[in-house]
Amino acid sequence: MTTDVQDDKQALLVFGCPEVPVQAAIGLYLAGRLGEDGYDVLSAGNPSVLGLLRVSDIQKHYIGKTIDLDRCIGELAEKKRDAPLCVVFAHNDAGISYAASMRYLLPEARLVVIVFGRNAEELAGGVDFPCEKIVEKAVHNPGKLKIGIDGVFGWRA
Amino acid sequence: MVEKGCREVYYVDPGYAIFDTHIIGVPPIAVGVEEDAFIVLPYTKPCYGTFLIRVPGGEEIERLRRKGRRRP
Repeated sequence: MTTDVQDDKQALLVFGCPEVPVQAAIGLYLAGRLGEDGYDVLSAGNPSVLGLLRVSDIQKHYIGKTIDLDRCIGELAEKKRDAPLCVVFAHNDAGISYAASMRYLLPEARLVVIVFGRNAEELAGGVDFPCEKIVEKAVHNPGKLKIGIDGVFGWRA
Repeated sequence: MVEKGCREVYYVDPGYAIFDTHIIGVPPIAVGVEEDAFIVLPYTKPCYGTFLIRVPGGEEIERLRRKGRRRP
């Protein structure tokens, strides 16, 4: 399934709290589509969200490599890791903080911030750093979020 | 909150490590020193948000004074 991965085909997905159901679904979708596009995808999150992803994809069709979020932050800060593409999932203030941190730690990366959940529009106002934003008030239904993601990544038919 | 509560405030960027914790947040991030013994810093977790914690600073206080900025 994977082709030879170039340096510019590293993608880092940063997952937030798994409280909002749509995150796991969209995360699996995004990881799968990026993998099809030749990206080497690394998923970062807390133990809960990584556990959900691993159980959801036991054959690792979509979620390949994973890393603890705190460890990932440390490696980025120490310049031991880089990623030309970074996608951050944010449905609360903590997610916005992580997105802002990624902007600083990966200054050259293409940064996409997916803002979702009940307070998506209000939260999106806190994203005042350079990035591409996908904002949908999505909690259970991934439909509109998927459309937004397809648009940003050029997958819209 | 740090700027309002602490007299001695330093500013750092995301990824700055205090002990084993890398601070995250919107830069510049304010970190305070209290009573020449404690560090007051924001601590963020994905499911719980950001808390302000006060911990014995030890050697990290001098390190913060060397590496932190006095202005944002």
